[in-house]
Amino acid sequence: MYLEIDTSGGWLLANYSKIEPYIGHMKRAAIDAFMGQQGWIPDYEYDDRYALWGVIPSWYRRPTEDGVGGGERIAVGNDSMAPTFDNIRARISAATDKWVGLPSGAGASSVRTSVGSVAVQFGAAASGGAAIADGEVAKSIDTISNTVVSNFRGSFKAPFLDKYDAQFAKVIGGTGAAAAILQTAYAAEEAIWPAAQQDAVDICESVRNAFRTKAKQSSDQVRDIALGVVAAVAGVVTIVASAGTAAPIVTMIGFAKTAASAVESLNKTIDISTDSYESIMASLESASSALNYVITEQEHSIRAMVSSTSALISFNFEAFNLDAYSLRDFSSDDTIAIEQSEADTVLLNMNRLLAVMASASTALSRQPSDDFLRRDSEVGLGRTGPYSQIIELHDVISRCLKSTHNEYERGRALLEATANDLFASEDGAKAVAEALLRELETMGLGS
Amino acid sequence: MTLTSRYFGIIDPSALGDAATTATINTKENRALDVSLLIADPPHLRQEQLDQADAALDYFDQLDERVRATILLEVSDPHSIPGQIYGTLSALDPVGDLTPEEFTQSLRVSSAVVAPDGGSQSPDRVSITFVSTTKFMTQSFMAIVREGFGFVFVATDEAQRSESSLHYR
Repeated sequence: MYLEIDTSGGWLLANYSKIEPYIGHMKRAAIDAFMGQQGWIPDYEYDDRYALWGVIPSWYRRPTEDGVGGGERIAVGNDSMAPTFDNIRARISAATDKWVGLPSGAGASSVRTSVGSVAVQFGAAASGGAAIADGEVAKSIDTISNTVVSNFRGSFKAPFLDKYDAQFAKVIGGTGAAAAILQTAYAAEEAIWPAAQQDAVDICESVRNAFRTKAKQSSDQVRDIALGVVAAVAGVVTIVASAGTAAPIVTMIGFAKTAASAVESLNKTIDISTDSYESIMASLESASSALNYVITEQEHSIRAMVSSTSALISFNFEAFNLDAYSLRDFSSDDTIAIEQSEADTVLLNMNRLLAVMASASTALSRQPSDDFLRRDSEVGLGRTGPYSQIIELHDVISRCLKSTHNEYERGRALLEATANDLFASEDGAKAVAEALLRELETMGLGS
Repeated sequence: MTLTSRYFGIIDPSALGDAATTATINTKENRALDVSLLIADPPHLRQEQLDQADAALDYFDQLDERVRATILLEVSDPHSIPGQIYGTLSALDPVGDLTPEEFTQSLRVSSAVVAPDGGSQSPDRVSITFVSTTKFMTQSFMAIVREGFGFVFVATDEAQRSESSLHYR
């Protein structure tokens, strides 16, 4: 048998894979406790029946160890306790069946990792590169910016810097922060379920022991449950905290912090009674609702966090999607001056950023199926939890990034065409550049 | 609601006091046996508890058989109460051929008490006094139905010796 040491109290943790046997045992133990309170005790000679006071052969059949059957008279009488036993089992089922077949939370871990890589890569641009892993994105943006500011002249310079440099950096930072929120949502769901599984099986084991103790079938320890699931979301939400300082990002961090503080205030312990059949049953029911309440509140927080982020993106589209950002008017400047090597420097770095965006798009293109959240419809936010809201955010980030990539590619084409044209024939440069800019603007606004 | 027992009749909890309510049942040997009803907590007596007392008496013969089967097992343990009594009686038996079966079957029920509401105060529900009479000695002990423990055997306060046993010691 697999046992794990709980370092907090040295207790041997119940194994979630055993939850169904625990529930079965609990049913018989509950029936034992119920019968015992009325003087019917498992017969001292025969384990399969209750005798009045344990010895007087006025017998009722006892359920099997897994809680099935029982209640019929043996040898004499024709009354039956079977309907009563069924009611007891139904009451336990109502409080426990939902805890069978919980997801493990592991199904989204590779997607969470992919999304996390996008968050780290792009979130760094928003925080000035402080949290960056390899610095590629921030470095390329800086290089492009410095080169164009210092060495380019011409009418395209101002709009180029406005859209393909400043706004682009903002969009990338916003995308990174949104990806961090998405990553947090996946990580939170990933953290909830192992903890919820443990809490569920702990409740079932402890209540079973309480019934057994009441029925004097054993003196297994009955313990109160400190819900481990409570800390699950609070723990992962801190990931986002370093994502950045730009306005929409700060707002998003606020969503995550709201989620964290909402769950931190939840009630954390559940008392399991041993007083009577009825009080043990009541503590099972209240433990079950408490666990479900905590899970539901956590999923509410996750759902609110991702929904608010999706809404924030749609209300500030240009901060997350370069394509949605309009070019500013720019003054005419007939003098174009670009060095070939500097144009190459900018184009090389733009290509780098395009490659990073393309690989990030690939990373975001993988979404988990709802299997990783599937559970009984009475648990948390229902059968698939906040799946559709998480996927909605995933979709919108993914679409924004693709769109930004395409728009950035147009910017790169503009610069390339301008430079090529200039180097080929300086006379026609202005006309070509302006035509491209107009075309670009039209495409950008029209999409 | 009137509390009623098929054996003890209408029970008035306020009148229970110290005096036990008694009834007479017929044993399987068609012998009259006095049984007493002992209520620990008269104000909280429930009909269901009287029903259980009645059920215990309904099944008295089967209960008696189960007790004797247990006594037969205990006789071989010299530290048990039935074993001690059997040992004493065997030693006094001049022929020395008192078998455990004979001993067990010779036991006579002298009285029984039913206590359906001992509650947490006492888990003892039925006590049956068995008497063993040989020509040298009369000894008695109690078999108690202790809820959750099966049968428990207890020596009665004093072994009652017959006159003829007096010059044994």
